[in-house]
Amino acid sequence: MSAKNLKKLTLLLSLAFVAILSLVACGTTGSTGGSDQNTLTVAVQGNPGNPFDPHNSNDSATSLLNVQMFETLVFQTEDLEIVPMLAESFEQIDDVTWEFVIRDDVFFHNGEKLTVEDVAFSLDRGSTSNLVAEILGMIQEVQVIDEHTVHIITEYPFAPLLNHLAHPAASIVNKMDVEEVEAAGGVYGLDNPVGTGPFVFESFSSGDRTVFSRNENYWGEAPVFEELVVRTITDGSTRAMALETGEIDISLDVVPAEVSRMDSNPDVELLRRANLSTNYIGFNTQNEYLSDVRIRQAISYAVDTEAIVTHIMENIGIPAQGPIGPNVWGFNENLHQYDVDFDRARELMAEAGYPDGGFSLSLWANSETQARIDIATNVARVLEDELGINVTINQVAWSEYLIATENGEADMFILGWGTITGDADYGLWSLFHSSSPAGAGNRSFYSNPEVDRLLELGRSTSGDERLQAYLDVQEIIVEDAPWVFINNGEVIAGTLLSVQGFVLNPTNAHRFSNVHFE
Amino acid sequence: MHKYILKRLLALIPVMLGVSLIIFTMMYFTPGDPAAMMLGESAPPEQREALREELGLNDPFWIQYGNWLRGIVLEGDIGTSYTTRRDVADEIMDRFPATLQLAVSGVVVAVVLGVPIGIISATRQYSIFDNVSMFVALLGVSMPNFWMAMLLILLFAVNLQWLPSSGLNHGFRSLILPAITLGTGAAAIIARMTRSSMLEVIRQDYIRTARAKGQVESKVTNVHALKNALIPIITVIGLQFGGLLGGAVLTETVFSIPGVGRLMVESIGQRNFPVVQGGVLFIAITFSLVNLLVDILYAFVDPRIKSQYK
Repeated sequence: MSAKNLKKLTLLLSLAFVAILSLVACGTTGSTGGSDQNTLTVAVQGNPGNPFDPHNSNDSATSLLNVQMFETLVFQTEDLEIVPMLAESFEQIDDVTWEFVIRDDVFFHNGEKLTVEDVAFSLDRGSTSNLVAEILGMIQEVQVIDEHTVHIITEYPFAPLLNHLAHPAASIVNKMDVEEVEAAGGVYGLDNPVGTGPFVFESFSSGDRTVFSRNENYWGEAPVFEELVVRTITDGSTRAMALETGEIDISLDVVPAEVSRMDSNPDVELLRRANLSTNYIGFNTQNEYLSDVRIRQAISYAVDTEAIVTHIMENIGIPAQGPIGPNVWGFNENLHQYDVDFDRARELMAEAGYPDGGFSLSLWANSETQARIDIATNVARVLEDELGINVTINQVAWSEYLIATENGEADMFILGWGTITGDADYGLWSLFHSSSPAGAGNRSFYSNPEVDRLLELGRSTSGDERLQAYLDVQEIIVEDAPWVFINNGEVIAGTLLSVQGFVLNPTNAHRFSNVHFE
Repeated sequence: MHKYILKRLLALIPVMLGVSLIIFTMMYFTPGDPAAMMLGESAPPEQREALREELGLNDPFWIQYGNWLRGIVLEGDIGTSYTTRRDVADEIMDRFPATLQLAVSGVVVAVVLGVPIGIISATRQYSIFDNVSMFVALLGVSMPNFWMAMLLILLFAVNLQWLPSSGLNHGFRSLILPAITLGTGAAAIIARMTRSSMLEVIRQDYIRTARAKGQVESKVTNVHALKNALIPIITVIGLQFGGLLGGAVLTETVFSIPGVGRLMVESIGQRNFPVVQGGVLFIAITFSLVNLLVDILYAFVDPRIKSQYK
C-alpha cells in the first residue's frame, strides 16, 4: 500500500471513529463535580444492593443513601451522643415502655405532614422485617397515645433502645406512600422513596450514581448546595484519582494503599476516625483442643496483633484490647492484654497436655478480603513454628464462609464485627450470649453462665449498674479468650480542600447536609 | 438469504435452552447461599430459612429450573434480582448502553489501528516496520488491561488533566481512555490476523496477474488482496466485538463504568442467581447475533459464500 493510500485509509477510519463515538456518546452529559459549588459529588465503593427502603435494606451502601433522605426519631451524633430528631422529646416510662413526642413541623418530600401514624407504621414494619430484625426485633408494639405522642413497648426490658432507634433501619417512612406502592403490588423504594430528610431523591442509575436535590421545605437547616451526587466507584485507586482530578469532592472508603499518597497530596485533606469495628480470630470453643481455655490463651499469647496492624493492616486502626473498641459505650480500658509471650504460651500448652503441640487445626478466611488471608498465613506460620500446632488454611467465598462458620466446620476463623449502635449490648450479646445462635454472631459457640447473666443485666438496668455489668463481662470474655482480638478499625475519607463542614461518622452513616464550600 | 437468517434465528432457541440449563446448573451447584448473603453475618438460621422459602430456593432443581423457564417463555419475565428486587431485564438494560458504547469504541480503535498495521506489515514483510509493529502487537496482547488503564489515567487524567478519570458523564471525552485500553489489545490481535491473512493472499496467482497487467500497487493491495483476505479479519473483529459486548470487567472497574461485566461479577459474588442467569442468557444471545451478523457480512464480501446461504 502506498503511503498516500494509507493516509487516506487512516483518515477515513479516524473520521468513522469520531462519528461513531459522537453518536454513541450523545445524551450523556451531567455534573462534573469538583468545581461546581452547587453540587456535592461523593464517591463510595459499593453499589446500593437493596431498594431504598430502610426496613428492607441492610447493606452499608444503601444505608448511606437512605440516611440522606430518611430520618429517625432520635439521632446519634458523630460523637455518638443521642439527641432528638423527629421526636421532640422522649422518656422511659417503665422497664418496657418509652414515650416519644413527635415534632409538629415536619413534612415528607411528597408534602404529607409527619404524623404519629407514620411513626407507628414505620416501627411496626421494621420490627417484622427479616433484614433489620437485629435492630428492631425487640419492639413488640407501638401505641398511638394522642396526635403527638407514641409509646414504644418492647418485648423485654431493653436499655439500649434509643441507640437502636437512631439506626437507619428505624427510619420513619410515609405510611400512605408505602401502602400505595405495596397495594399496587410494587416494591417500595425502587422508584421514588419519600422521607423527611434534607435531600430529596431524584434519580438512580445502577452501578453509576444516585442523585438528590435539596429539600427546600426541610424542617431543619437546609443544605447550602442544591444537588448531592453519590457515585459508585468500585476501584480504590480510581476513587483516589477521581478526587485528585477534582471530579469528586469527597472520597469515602479510602483503601489502605492510597492513604499515604492522599496524605501527602497538598490539594486533598485526609480524614481519619476510629470506627466501631473489631476484627478478630474466632475459636470454635467446641473443638476438641480449643475447648481448653489454656490452648486458646496460648494462641492469644502467640499472635502478635501489633505486628498485624502495622504490617498487614498498613497501620489502619489500633490493636484491639478486647471484644469492643474504645469508642463503644461501656468499653473497659483496664483489660488484661495478651502481649506476645512465647514462653507463657508454651507453658500453657504444656499445662494443657500438649507441650510440643502435635495436633491440627483449620483456620478459615474469606477469599475476598486479602488482609484476612495475610493474617491467616502469618498466624499459621507462628502457631506451627512456636507451638507446634499444624494449621491448614481454608479460603472460601463469603457466602460459603458464613455457612461454614455457622455449622462449626471452622476451628478458627477471621471475622469482623461493627458495633453499629455504639452500645456494648450490640457488640457483645449476639457474639457471646449462649442463647445467640452461631448464625446471629456466636460463631465461637461460646457459653458462660456468668457472661449470660451480666449481658442480661446490662440489657435491663441503667446507669452505673449497667456500666459495671459491661466492664465485668469484658474481663471474663478476655480471660476466657474465645477470640484473639486483632484490631479496631478506622473510617477514612479524603476531601478536596474547598469542602468544609464534613464530619466522619463512626457508624458509617455519614451526613452531607452540613457541608459547604470555601 | 432471508430464509438463511430465519433458520439461524430459529437455531438460537435450542442453543439458548442449552445455555440456560448449563448456567442454571452451574449456579445451583455453586457453593454459598443467597439468603445468607442477603441477611449478612448476624441473622439467625430461622430467618434465613424463611427467606430461602420465600425465594423458592428450597424447591428441587427441576422445579426451580422449570419455574424460571416458564417465567421466561410464558411471561417474558427473566426474573427479579434477589437484592435490589428490580426486574433482571431492567438491571441488564440499565447497564447495556455503557457496555455498548465501550464495545463499539473499543472495536473502532482496534480496527483503526489493527487493520492498517497488519496490511503494511504484510506488504513489507520482514521490514523494520513489520518487526516493530509485530513486537508492539505482541506487547499489546500481553499487557494487562487494568495496568494500561492505570497508566493512561495517571498520564492523561491526573498529570495532564486532559481527560476525565472515571465514569461516562463527560460524553465523548469519557470514552477515549477506556476505548484505547480495550482497543489496543484487540488491535494487536487484529493486526496479527490481518498480516497473516494478507500474506497468504498476496502470494496467490491472481495477485501476480493483477500486477502483470500493470495495476497500480495500491489497488492491488487494497482491492484485490484485502478483499480476499477479509474473511478471517472480519471473523476476528466479530469475535472481539462479541466478547466486548459481554462486558469488559477490568476496564469497567478501573474506569468506573456501569457496564454489564461489573453487574455480572457483583451478582456472582452475591449469589444473585436471577441476575447471573439472565445476564448470561443475554450475553449468549448478543454473541450469537454478532456471529450471525458476521456470517451475513461474509456473503457481501465473498459471493461464493452467498450462494451457499439458502
